[in-house]
Amino acid sequence: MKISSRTENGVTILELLGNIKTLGDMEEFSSAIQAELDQKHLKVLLNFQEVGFVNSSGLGRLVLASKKVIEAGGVMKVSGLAQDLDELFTFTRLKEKIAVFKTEADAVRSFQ
Amino acid sequence: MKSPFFLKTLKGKAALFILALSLIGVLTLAAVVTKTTRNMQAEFQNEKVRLIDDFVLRTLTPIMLAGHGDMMSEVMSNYKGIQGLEKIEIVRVDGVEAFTDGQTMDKVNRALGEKRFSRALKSARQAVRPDDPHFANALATGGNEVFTREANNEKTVEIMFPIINQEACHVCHGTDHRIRGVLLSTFTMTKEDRGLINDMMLLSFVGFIVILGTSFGALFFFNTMVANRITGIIRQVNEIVGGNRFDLRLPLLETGDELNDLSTAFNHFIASVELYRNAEEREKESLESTVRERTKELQEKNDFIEADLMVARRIQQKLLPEKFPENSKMSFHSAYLPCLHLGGDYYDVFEMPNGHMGLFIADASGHGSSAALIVAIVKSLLSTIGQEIGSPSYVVQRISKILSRLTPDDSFCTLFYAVVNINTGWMAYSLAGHPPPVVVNRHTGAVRILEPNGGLVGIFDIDRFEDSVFKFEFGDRLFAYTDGITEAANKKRELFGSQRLIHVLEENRDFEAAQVIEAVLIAMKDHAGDEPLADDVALLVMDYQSDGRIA
Repeated sequence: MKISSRTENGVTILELLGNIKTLGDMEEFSSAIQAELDQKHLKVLLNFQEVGFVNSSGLGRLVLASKKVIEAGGVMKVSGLAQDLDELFTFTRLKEKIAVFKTEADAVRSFQ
Repeated sequence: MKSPFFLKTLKGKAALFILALSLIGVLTLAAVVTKTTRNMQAEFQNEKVRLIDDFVLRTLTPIMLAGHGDMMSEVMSNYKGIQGLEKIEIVRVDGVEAFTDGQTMDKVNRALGEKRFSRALKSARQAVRPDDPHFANALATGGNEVFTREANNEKTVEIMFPIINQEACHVCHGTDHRIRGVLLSTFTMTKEDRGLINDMMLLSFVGFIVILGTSFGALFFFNTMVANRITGIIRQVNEIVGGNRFDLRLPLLETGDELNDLSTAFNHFIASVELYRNAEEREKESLESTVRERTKELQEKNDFIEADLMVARRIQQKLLPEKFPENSKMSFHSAYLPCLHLGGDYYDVFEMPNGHMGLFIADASGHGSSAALIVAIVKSLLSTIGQEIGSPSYVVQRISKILSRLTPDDSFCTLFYAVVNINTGWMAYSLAGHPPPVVVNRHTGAVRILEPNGGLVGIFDIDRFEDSVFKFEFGDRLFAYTDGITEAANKKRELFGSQRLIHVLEENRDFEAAQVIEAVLIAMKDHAGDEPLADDVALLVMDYQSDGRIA
């Protein structure tokens, strides 16, 4: 997978591209989150617009990332879930733990 | 510029060179012979002129000056002192021979006052045609004319020697003519002279043959000793290189010439190639043997791991129920397809006190051995906690709490745990992060999907799980599954999805549970095509039917 980082209105936006499926994907994802926390970027938005598939291990990493951001005193939100992923977030009740927004703009606004 | 094909080979070049050399030799020989022959002829002529000159000076002039005309005629007709002299005669300016007509004789006798010339008269004879160019030239210039005539295959040299009208002669001849006529002498070549020239011709012919012979000899020598041997060396080297026979060597001659040295140099080169290739071969063999050894080691390790995993798989299979409890209202069926040796899915059905039945299906995050370990923990927790009195959410909550302590931070499981009253059909369940089970009524075709009421299990330290209730009707078929089915993807990364699954369940509701399971698995594999399973697949089906009594 590919991850690119940019900042908008003080919110760090990580754009994810590809699947979160292999061990390599997961390591990449975890270290991207860690890199933001190391720089004290505490408002983190994950843009899932270009993510196809997340398996159960990937979901575990996502939860772990959220936990770490919270531990650091920050907030992690998610936007742009495809229908399959939205269903997954629903029945796993992750939406109760991680705020989910339809669009990136909505999510960025919610940080203000 | 492109050379003609015959100049590409050494043979062709040598042949052309020798041909050119022979041509030069023959031309030189011809030039020398021609020049010599001409010189000889010129020498012959010069010698005759000198003799005639001498004859005129020493013999003819004194006789003439003394007025001994008769003696002159005599001398001339009988003179044989000059070698090769065919004839000698005095010709007048009109080309008629002097002293042969009576008129001239009478005139001479009268002029002399006595009869001096007494010989018999002959008729006048035209010795030279008056328009003969040599004759005219001699009269006009007063110089000697020497030339060759050819008649009857006989070469003759003729000399026209002009006779000057000197003062002593003016008595008889007056002064009207500066030149009185010519002394015409004719020579034929003697046998010796001709022989000499023939010898020259023979010499040139022999020279020609010798040059040709030498040339062809040289060509033959070059071809045999150089060109053919070089061709041979090339052929043998090609055989060695083309046939990969670097163990062979070029044959050597006992007389070590330069070509022999060339063969020796080639042999050294071939030997070093052989050495290099042998070393390469040995290295390759050693490499191959190392690879074989490593492969064997890896294979052994792999076999060991494989065997170990097979044991683990058998242990894991023991965790799954061998057969399901039976009663008049409920029947159970299941299927389990781990995508690796070990699976991360688990299900169980067990009888509970007071006419209740426990249903459990779980999916640990990840798959393979890590997931299998989590499953084993879940199973043991369920065996102990499940026996305690409590609602499904209470059991799930306990499992979640312990699991979050025992497993890594990003590990979790999803599960569906239900307790069903066999008689009433009422069910209390906790659906925690798990794909919602589907209930299809086999009589009416009605489809109901259970509402989730909890999140992921074992990942959050503090979490809240709830219970929901659901009432089964007769003919209801509960279909609980793990996400390995719905997330089976095809080449285009399209997931099988819950909608397709529900469609298959509806379509096959008249069939027995085992057949429905088969239909689901076939539909899933049809969808995925050649793509392998990415996750474990587990299915648990419960049919709830009337036992004939009123519930």
